[in-house]
Amino acid sequence: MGVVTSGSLSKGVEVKLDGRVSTEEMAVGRFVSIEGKKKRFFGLVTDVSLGAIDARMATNPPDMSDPFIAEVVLGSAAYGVLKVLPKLVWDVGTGQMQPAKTVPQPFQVVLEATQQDIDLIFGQEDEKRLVIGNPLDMEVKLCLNLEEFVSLSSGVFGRTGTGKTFFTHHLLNGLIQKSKAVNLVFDMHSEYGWSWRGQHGRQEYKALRQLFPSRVAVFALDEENARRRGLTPDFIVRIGYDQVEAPDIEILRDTLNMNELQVDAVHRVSHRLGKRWLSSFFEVGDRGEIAERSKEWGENEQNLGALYRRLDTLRRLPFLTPEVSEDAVDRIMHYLKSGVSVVLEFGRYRDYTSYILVANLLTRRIYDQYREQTEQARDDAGRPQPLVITLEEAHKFLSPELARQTIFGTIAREMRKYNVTLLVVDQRPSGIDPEVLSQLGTRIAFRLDNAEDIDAVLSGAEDRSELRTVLSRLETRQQALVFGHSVRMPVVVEVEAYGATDYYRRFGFLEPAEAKRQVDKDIEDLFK
Amino acid sequence: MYVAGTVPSEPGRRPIARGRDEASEEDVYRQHPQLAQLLRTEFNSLVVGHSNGDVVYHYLPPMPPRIHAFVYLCDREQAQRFSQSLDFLNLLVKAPQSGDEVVAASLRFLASFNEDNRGFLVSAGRELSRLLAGEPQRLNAILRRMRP
Repeated sequence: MGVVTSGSLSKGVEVKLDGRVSTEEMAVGRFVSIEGKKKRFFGLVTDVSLGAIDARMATNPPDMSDPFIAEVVLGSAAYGVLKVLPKLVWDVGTGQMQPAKTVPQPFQVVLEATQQDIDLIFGQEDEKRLVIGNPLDMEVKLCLNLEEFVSLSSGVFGRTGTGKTFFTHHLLNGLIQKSKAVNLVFDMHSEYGWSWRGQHGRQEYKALRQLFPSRVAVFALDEENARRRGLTPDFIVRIGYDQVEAPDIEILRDTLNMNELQVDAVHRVSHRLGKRWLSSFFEVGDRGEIAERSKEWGENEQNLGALYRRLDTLRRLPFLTPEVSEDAVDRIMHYLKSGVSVVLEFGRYRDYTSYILVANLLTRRIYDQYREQTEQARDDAGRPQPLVITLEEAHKFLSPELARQTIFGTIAREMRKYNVTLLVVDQRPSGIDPEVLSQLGTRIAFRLDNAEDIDAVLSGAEDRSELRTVLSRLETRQQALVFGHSVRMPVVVEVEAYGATDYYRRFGFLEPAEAKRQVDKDIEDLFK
Repeated sequence: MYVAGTVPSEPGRRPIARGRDEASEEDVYRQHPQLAQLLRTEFNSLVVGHSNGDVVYHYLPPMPPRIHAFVYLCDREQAQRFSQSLDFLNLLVKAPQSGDEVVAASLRFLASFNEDNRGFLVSAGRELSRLLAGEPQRLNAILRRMRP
């Protein structure tokens, strides 16, 4: 492609393009290798510019309409310049791959990376690596190490319609197929359980339960909605009043429109009334005894009255009931322990009150159980299987105001301590607490338009300014910049196409007729 | 080869127009055989390389050619061998006596011996654009004259 002419480790090296390679064929985010004497460098193209051998060329431009003159001038007197960020060094002698601590010598040859290079860096598909797509403008497969991916929280970001839902599905398929983690998916838009429709609703895509019938359970908050779609959920989630605690109400401050005084009152009231505080408080209010009790409890009457009216709106949520026969958390834990992932569909209850309340409440208790199990485990074998909690619209839980209060903020900050990590899916990363963002191990960023969002996604990343150029030039669909813990160097991926028959087959899905043939054959083999 | 011209052997003697009734140039010389003795053709030659045995060097020899040394036109094989390197271009473009026409013409001449005529001219053009980076106008003029 060209030769290295100048540069530095921190800012990247400049590469003068060969005359045969047009800048039109180049793109930021492309993957290149630089052949050194004993080492091979791998880097990412972060900028493309034009250069001329002499500034006077610009005032006397050659006649480029003449094909001969154009051929002569391009690459010699005027040429393309690539900015390449060297990230990794492969020692040809020892076969070791290390982060780049130096730059190649001047005038070393720059080549397009090959499948071998990609395999060397990202590994080949195996029991722990999942093919996530191909590097930009390359027809080779690129893998993600799922074991490392689940060891820290991670995030998938991108504005609507960029393909982040497809990619999240793909990741979950991989995690389940390769048994690298059990998943708990808070499925706000009911997309992860059975099927979902793409942006224009034309095609229906198969989701987790269809691909892994025995390894995914679908829980529903809205039974009617599930039935209307012809589905039978494995469990209908009901939440008892006694399961709601003061912190669960506190994070609803915005959605319930509560002020500071009311939030404080919630804590005092729940402390005073004990485990069944919510039921008791409703009873007090229903009987019109707010005035009396506020004197007795030393609370402001108006404040307590307002709190009652705010909390009363929660009673309109049909899944919130005074009593529950079976605890949803126990059922979820039962499934998770046996290695079955759980998708919780919200059905019609897509309002943020329901979503935040349920997700936070369930996760807090599941997390407690996980923590207990991890702490009791004497060795690695006793530790529970890693749990990945997929959270859509994550900025609602992880905003700077709430991240300290919700369980999700805790999980993101505590990292891998208790084998529970988050897979944050969001289109407004700037709404997420920067501290939480910087703790995300692997970040997958699809196209983002807002400059604040781009900055947020890159917060705490190395080479921010270089990656910024790459990120802001991604195509609007199915291209993502992947960087962080589980990839050795940042890479732009054209993600796997979702939904073809071959795709489903990779995850073991057989069409009914085919599945029947397989069963018949298995039976025959059994009696041979 | 540069600045070639035919002049009278005796300086100061202007050639007179002849051959009013002749049909061709040859007929003029047949009618006036003395003309071949009275006119002579001179040209200058810029040395751009030399050879020692089989080895070709694209820079100046240690000594100039001797007086009365015979001059031959390069044959095809010699031209091809010489044009395998473009290092002589530096001498050619920097010599004060060789103008743009000489540079372009000599490259066209060498290209005619090359199987990949266009490829040779493109490589030569690229070398020129490095050598003449500071003189874009001259570069453009030469490139226009050496188009295949």
